[in-house]
Amino acid sequence: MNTRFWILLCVAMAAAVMVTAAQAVEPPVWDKEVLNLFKTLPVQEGGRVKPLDTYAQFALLRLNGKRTCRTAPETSSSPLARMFGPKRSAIEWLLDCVFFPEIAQDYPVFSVNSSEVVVALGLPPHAAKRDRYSYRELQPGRDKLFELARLYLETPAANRTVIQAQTINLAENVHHYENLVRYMAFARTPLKVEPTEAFLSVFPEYSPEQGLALSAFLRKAPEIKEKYLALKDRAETDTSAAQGIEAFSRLFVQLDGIRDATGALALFPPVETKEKQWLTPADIIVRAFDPGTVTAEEIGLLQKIEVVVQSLGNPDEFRRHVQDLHTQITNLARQRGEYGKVGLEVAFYKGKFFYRSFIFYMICFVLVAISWLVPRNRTLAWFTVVAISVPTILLVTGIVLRCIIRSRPPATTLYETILFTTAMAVVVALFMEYATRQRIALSLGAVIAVIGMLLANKYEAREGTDTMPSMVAILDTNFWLTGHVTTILIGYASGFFAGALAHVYILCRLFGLKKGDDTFYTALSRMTYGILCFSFFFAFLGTLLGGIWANEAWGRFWGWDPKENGALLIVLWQLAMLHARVGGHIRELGFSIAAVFLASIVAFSWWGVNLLGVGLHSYGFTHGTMTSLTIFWAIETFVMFLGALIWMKEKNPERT
Amino acid sequence: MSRIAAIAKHAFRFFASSGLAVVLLLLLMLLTFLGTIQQVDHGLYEVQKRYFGSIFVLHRFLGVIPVPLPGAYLLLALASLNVLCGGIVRARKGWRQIGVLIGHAGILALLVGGYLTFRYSISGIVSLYEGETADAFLSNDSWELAITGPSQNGRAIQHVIPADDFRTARTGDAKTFFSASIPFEVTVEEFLPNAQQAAENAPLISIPISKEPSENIPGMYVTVKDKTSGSTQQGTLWGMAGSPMNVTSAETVWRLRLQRRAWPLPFKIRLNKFTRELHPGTNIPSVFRSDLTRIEGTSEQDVQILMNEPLRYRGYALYQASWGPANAGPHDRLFSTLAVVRNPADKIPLYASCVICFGLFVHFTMKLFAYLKAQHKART
Repeated sequence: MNTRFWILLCVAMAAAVMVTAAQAVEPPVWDKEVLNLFKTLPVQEGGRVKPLDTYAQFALLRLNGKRTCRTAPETSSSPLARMFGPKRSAIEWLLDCVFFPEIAQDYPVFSVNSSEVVVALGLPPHAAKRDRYSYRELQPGRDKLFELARLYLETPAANRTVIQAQTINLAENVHHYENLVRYMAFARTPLKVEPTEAFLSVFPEYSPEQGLALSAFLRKAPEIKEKYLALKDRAETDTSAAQGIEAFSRLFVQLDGIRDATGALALFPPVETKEKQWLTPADIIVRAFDPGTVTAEEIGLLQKIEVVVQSLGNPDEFRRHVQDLHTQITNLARQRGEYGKVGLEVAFYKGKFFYRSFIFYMICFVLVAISWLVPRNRTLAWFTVVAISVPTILLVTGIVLRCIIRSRPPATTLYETILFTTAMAVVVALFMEYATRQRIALSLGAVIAVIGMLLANKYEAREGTDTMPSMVAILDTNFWLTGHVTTILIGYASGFFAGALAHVYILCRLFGLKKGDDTFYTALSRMTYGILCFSFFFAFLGTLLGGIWANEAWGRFWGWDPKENGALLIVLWQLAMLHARVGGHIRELGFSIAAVFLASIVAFSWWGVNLLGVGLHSYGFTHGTMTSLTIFWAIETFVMFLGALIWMKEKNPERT
Repeated sequence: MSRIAAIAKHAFRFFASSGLAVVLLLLLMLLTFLGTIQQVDHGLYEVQKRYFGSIFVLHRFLGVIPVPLPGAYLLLALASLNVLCGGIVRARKGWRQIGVLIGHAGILALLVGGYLTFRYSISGIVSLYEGETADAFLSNDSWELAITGPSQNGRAIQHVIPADDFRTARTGDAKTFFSASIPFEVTVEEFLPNAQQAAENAPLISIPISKEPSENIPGMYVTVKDKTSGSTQQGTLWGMAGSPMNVTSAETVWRLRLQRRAWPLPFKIRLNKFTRELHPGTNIPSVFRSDLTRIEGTSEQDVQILMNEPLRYRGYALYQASWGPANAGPHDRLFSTLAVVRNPADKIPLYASCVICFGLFVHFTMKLFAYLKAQHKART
């Protein structure tokens, strides 16, 4: 009976999805080969050359909060269709946007965290407060959205309300999306020009019915400019010249519109290898009127785009033209030495190293939990160690690949610091497990890894920008980045790990676990002490290296900058802990409470000082980070309070 | 005598105690934390002076309640004493403690280096347009009143009064200066640490002090009294004034100017070219580079200063610090601003860091192996 019920339910769900999907316009089916060609097409963005696939992934992540999206239109109002409907990869979504904007505008890709934002635009909100909207749904409120965003931008970022920040974010996302969907419009719609005498003298075969391809026009743009200037000279005396100028002006307005719509993707490597900036169609339009600044080959690339768009109806032709375009662009990029790592980057993102390591770490966490239920099972204990090594290898491989792609040390951005710190914390945990074999270090390693990878994924999704950005001039030194940043992050990682061990100590004491087993607590405390020494060494070394770098870069070893002070706070607290322990001022419990406080200081140094908005490491205020930090500090304070309670209880046993 | 010896012994024990170390470290932590938070409202420069360069600081808790605290200067001096007494002199000596001893010695060297830098280093800036030459650098935050006399044998005598000597001058609390070689007295009636002046000789307008010290342009009202005739002349001096205040005494003309404090360089530098590059399609700077010629007498040498690659020469270090004008177009002439530092203790942090790290490495490696050995023994 039960089985029959579940089968019926599944059939009903499938039917609901199919019916809903049938109501929507079918999204195009992209050939695998074509997808691969587009994925590996190089594009310059944010100062570096990257695969179009990377561009697509971050463009979609920014809008949608995920690297994939659903295609079910919201008009269907079916939550089932939204949950189980057809899924698009980032590159498919991007191609839908540029080649089939009419279809893509129904995809619910605009993630809105609060329906209040939508209500403020005068639009009907979805039932769920947090949901995804399609462009078609938002379009009626578009003007209002930009008006509100402009207004809210006048308020400093730290003073904006959450709704104001979300409105600005949505407006930026809509703007980015519109730039994408308009990108290929020039290839779909030929130029319509009034066939004046001056124009026809340049394009004698022009037919008003067929119009004129942009590339064809641009090839003769200097001649058009000459004609225009000649007409301008005669305009005061010749009425027909004035009419000709008006016709040209209308043409220029059309061109201006195309230029405005085609600045999103710098797809064309300049033939002149000394020129660093790749060209967008907009750049080619502007340069075409200035002889010598654009080559026929570059205009040829624009023409290739037109051909690709026009062959959309014929799959074989389309594939062939895409292949041609890919070959031409990649050859140019190769000549410039800018294509070497594109394939590796596509493979890196395809590997999903960090997402997979996150999933594996969660499985390991469950395994560790099970291993505590059967403490005498040595096989399971060893299997857990081996199991946790798998995601760690994935994580380290991902970090190494990023280093190769960027030709940089492992941690040069805030995002990368999370990955590196997590990896180091797990490595320290594995080493500690090797030394102690009590499964405590291993368990904590799994917990820290899950939290670390969750943070990394959340941070990446929230930022929604390429996590391999170009480096500012001051950071353009692999020697100091490697020395200072990596060592201080090892200090952070082990500082957190020491704090985590201290949590175990306090909670075990609180709940009376292993009561009377002093060796357990002594071993735990010694582990905390050992890790703290390790953390102190690297935090101190990292801080000193940072000072030496500052002395080399700015001529002062120490400048009391907030980030420097954050690192100093860690070192000072660790020194205070070590001296207090040596002097007998604190014992096991006091040392554990202090280690919990250490974790709070590390969080302040790593993230907190960045929010102050002053100094060398100011990344601007973000509500999300502040909220997460506040929660973390509240939890740590609570654990320290619990530790203090135990201390008071032990000090005055008669009162309890 | 034995009483003095007992007091000295007690004092030594106090300064060598781990308890004092813990208290000093905690106070330094508190001060560092408060100083970091205060930078949001008061800026780095002000906080550095109040919290980290002082003996005592009056911190306003919640912006209202005054709480006296020892400044970092005092804390670090006591910490140095503590490291010397407790970490080196009193510490147990032996192979097992060798790492700790080396580490403490390194920390002491670092603190001494910090003191020498604080006390004896000078720093400033020099801004040059392409083609310009400089043989001096200017302070970012220190000003002086320069009184320049008439030229004698082609050389003019200049008397300089540091702004610190008249910084407190207010209406009713004027500061007067005189010298045997100057035929007049100068009285600073009122000093404004940050001011504007709409036109020459116009009244000064006091404006709030900027967090960025280089942005503060002081001004002041002065009265000059001729020693012989007793006649007086009043005037305004402003840091950005186009021309000096001229004072005529005994048929000689003297010039008074409020200017940034300047230090001579033992060589000249000429900026040949300044290059600023961005990552393509972005506003992210990729390169700042100053191509210079260093001139000493008749010898000239081309040198280059980049980010992270300063020029070190004859005890001076020149760094790429900034550029301008901020709103320059693609074909506008740019200037390069170089930070100039003369620090006799420049290399001490590097050497001290090496010593500290070596000491810590030795100590913690010995500890780690002892721990691993104990763990292995416990298992077997």
